[in-house]
Amino acid sequence: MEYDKWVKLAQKGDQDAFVLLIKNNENSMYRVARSFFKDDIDCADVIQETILKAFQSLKNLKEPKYFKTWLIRILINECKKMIISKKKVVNEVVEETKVDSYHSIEIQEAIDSLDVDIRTITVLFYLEDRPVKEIAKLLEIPEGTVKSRLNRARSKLANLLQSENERSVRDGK
Amino acid sequence: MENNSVDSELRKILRESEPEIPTTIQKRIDQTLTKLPTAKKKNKFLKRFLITSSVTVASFALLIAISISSPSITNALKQVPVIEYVFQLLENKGLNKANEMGLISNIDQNATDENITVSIIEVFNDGINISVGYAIHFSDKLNSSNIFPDFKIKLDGKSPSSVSVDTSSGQWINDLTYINMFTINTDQPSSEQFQFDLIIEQIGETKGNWSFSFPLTKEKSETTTILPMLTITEGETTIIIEEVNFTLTSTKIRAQMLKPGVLYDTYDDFEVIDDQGESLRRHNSGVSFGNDENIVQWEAEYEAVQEVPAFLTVWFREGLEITIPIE
Repeated sequence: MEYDKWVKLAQKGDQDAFVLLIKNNENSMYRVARSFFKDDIDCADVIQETILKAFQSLKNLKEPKYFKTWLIRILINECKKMIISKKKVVNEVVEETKVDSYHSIEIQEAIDSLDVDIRTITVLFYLEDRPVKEIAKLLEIPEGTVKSRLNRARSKLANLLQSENERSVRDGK
Repeated sequence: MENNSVDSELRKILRESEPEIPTTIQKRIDQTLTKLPTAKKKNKFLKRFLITSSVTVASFALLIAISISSPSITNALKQVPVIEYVFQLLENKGLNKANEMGLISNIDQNATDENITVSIIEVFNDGINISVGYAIHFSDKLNSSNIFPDFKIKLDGKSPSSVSVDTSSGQWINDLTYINMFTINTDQPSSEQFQFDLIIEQIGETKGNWSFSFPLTKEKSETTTILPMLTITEGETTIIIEEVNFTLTSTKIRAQMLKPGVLYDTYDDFEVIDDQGESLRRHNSGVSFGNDENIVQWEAEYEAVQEVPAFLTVWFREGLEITIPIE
């Protein structure tokens, strides 16, 4: 309820409310942007453009409860636009991943090893708790495609994580 | 194991190992939020125009964490590498073509302040856009790669009333030297040559004064201008494509929108696609209007095309697009 109130206030021009909304969603925005781009500058660019776009067109949002979905939708569009415009190759070697532990690095590398289309679905499904139907709408692909890609992500991640665990046990970590 | 249990296990592992937002991105988010644009005014003719869009233009005075160990300016200058060209290094197709045609002017002016040396390497003015290639040399390694110079310009000693700026993604050519370019769109003096003053007042968080002055010539390059006057109507909204302009540095489109409705608020979402299906990157866009809010003039600049296409498509929104044949 509080969330809806912020959205309504922001729609009336309350910048503080808008800032609160963005601060509440910045982690999600980073996760999704990071699923498209490994470079921090690219992530920062798409997030910045998304914030500005959201601010400019917030009054067009009809249902405040869908703010987060709407925001992620804008972000995904911006990511797609940047990929098209920069012809970004997103499967290059991992760059400067800011993580806190070796374990985190392994998990991040496991996610990074997925193709971009699978990676985004993984983030939306596992970290953002978005249902398959909504992911299909967000990415403008059929539900069946989401399911099959999710299945690929599931088996690949499970295998990767299992191998890491076995190696850790063997190395006595 | 069934999918559900695998999913909950994976969800748990992924969440536990989630990386924090890197400082660079966090700072950019916070800077964007502190510099949100003010509310739109809707009255005076041509009062508000341009300067929207383009992530990189929106906030100039951004972050930089500089750790300066105060070497002397002389030492800093000794380390400045000689850079002869920037446009080529940045792989800008339009400007590379201009280079092949011998239209690029080498400037090679340096200014040093606060242990930072800025070099203006080369410029190109097609009469519509002024492209400036520059290098910034720091005396010590930066912790951040975000560098957005805050500057003002003068043309023949006068500050233009309206300026839009676009910049590309720069490059570090070594640990201390950064190169990039920006393109300035503004009303230029009518003379073929004029004096151009560039005063950089801030680089990242470091304030200083890096001033440059040199003559700029409007280069006679290939430009293609067409006046299609194509009209599309949907419901109450009518769009008339009035002018399309191709230069070495940009693709410019001008249209009039009658009763634009919601299109008025999404003018910087319009997409332009060439005959190969490639979406052109938008540099800037803006609207202006007279006393009647139902008549809106839309003008936008997109990236340059390598070859003038057989047609362009302007996508306004789902189900509302127009294809412009180019003769």
